[in-house]
Amino acid sequence: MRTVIAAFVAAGVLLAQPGATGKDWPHYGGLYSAWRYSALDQINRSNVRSLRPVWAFQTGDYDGGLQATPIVVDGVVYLSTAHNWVFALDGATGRELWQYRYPLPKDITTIYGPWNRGVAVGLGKVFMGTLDNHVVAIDQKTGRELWRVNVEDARQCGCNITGAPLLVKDKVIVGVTGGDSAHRGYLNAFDANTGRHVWRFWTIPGPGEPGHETWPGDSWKYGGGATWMTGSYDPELNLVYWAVGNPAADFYGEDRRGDNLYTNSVVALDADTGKLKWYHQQIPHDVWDFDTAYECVLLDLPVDGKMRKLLLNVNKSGYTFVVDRTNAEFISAWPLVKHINWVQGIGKKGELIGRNEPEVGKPKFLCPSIGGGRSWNQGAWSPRTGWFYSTGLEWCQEVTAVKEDPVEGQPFFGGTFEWRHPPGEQAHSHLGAYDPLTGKRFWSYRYNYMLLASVLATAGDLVFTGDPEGHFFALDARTGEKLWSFQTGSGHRGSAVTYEIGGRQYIATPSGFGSALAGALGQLWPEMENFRKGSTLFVFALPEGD
Amino acid sequence: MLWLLFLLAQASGAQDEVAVGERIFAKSCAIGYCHGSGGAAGRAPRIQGRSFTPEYLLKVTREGIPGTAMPGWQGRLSEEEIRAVVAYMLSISASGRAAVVASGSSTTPAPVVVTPPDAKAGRELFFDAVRGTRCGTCHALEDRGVPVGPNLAASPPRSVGAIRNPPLGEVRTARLAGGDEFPALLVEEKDGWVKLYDLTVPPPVLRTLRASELELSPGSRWRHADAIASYTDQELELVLAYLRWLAR
Repeated sequence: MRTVIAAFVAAGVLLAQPGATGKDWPHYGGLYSAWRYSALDQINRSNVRSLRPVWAFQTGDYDGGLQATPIVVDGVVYLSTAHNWVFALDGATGRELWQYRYPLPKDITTIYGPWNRGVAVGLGKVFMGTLDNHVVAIDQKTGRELWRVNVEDARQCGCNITGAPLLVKDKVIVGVTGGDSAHRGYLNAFDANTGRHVWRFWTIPGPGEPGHETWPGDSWKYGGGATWMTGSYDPELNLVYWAVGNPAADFYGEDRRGDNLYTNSVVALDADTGKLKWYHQQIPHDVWDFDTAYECVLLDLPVDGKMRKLLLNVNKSGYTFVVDRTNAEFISAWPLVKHINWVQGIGKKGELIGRNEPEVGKPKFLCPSIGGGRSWNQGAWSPRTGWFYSTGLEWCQEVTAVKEDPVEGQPFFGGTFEWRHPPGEQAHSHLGAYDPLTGKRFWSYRYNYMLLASVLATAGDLVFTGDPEGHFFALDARTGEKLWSFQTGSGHRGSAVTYEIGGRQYIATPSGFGSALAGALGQLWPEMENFRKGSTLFVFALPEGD
Repeated sequence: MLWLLFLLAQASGAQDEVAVGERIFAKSCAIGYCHGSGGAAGRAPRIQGRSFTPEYLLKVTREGIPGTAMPGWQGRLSEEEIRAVVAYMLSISASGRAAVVASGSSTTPAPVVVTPPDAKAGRELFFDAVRGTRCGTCHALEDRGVPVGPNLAASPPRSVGAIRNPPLGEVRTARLAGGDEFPALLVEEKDGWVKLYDLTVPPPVLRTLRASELELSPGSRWRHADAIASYTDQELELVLAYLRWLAR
């Protein structure tokens, strides 16, 4: 399949697809197709060594790190922080235009936070989900709050919102956490102008609905199925694609024998009604906490010589799945990492071969760890090279399943785990360039801790990401050679973007280490406990006149 | 000799307590996002090998740390269980097992309140998550739910009929300059801005509108019976029993 893609790349056919950002960075994943690729090429392989900081913005909200994707519209950068503060900044100077601080209740406690991964901007408004499970709309010009709605009482559901909303036409679509709690997941759409609820898709079907039979007894009421990251949208098909996370209890599956639909599935929903059009389940009856929660990259590629509308999704298990996004037909699945032993492999129809499940009361060595063959931070796809760029994490764990009964809204893991180095080597990570259909790797950049920031690809044939030690760096998209690096002072857990103002290209990256995973890395590397927190947006450009 | 036996007995009692605490810790504190297996650190701080006083651990375990992910466990764990978890944490801390014995294990059991069965069933219905809209969508009780509507424990409705059709004096009709009209509950009027709940569809939306673009008039077409249509009379009898029990 590779040679065929290469031929299409050479002919420039892939560049005609509408997935590249230009002056703005309007959505979480760049455009609706979530490529995280920009057509801007002022900064490129030949001049990136001259890249220098032009401004930095300190948010002051450093606990939990800075995990957001900044959104850029008409030269204004919209940035959200861990405790739901939002800033509007002049993209050229860093001058603060307004700030909004969501009034979080003082006594809030959540296992999913504090962190926030971004806002949605459009219709004159900025939309954000909150740590206490509200959706809020802010005036894009003034920062004044327009409406706020409590999706469900966070004290009861144990759930909240940390992902960026997706604005589709006049609806703001918002997911929810709670996949590791006794909670029944959902995806909600609200009227962007009034905040009124429009539709809800339950990720676990109720009595009488197809799929309900995959949940015995009352297990459907507490089965997780969170929608904690951000989906994609295909305007031509009018379908919203969202990846649904793991079932609960994570490691103990005896009380939920069955496929547990629609957990660990990509679902395609009618954007206007929220009705299910199709689903593709990657891991039936997951007992490893291997969420199908990450980005849905929409790309059209030749499969056996014929152009197909595809959807690529990296699963936490270390496998990447590609399906036809018009009808859920399985195309391929390929490993992103070396250390995988939870299955022996994946068959030609996408079926799991040789499941290796956790056992009750007995530690089992499993790879990758529940931190994932990759974390939630996104990969990027470049139509110039035809390659998908993603980080990968090589690590394992010992899991012990424990029988656990659900208590509504309380954590519901059904087991414990301890991270371990993989057999024969130290845990480490890499950023690689892959054929999106076959997983053939063209180059790989190795790093001795875990790479936990998103990837940005540009038409300058550069890929950018950052590491936990604070370096933000650029690699040659064609060779993986490191061309430039800058120490930002705190680790990277967010997503870099690029934009243009007045003919000048800017690269912006959040810096500020934190998150559930980041805090636990001390299990493998004791020195990482002392890695510094932070919450700063760094912005780079070439010197003026270049 | 007797004195030595007493010490040994106390130490072995403490060992049992540590074992109980270890089981609770594994299930409630070690899990994915929190303190990690054996307190080896997760997103939350490491417990293993650090120094703590028993008083600090007791306070934080009972009350939590506001503004962080650390919840208070009082009410979720019994006092004995909290003390057992603290004993376990001391045993894996820098102070080690000696601190467990020194901290003693006297307990003051909290008074136990038993909810009668019909009130318990009513509480479950009030907060029934399976329904998209339930009583708790607009009313808060016992630190759960959303406090938009009146506090029902203060003066419980007299009958199922009164639950279906309570007096709605506070609900008004809002008209926007653009023509949109909706049932509204006024929250605040200040400096030319109005905060109100839009009750068009549940859950209620707290909207901030310019007073000059808004007209509020008494009464509305909104009916409480529509909002709670998913409840049968039988179910509302149980909800009523719950509210009466709370107001006892």
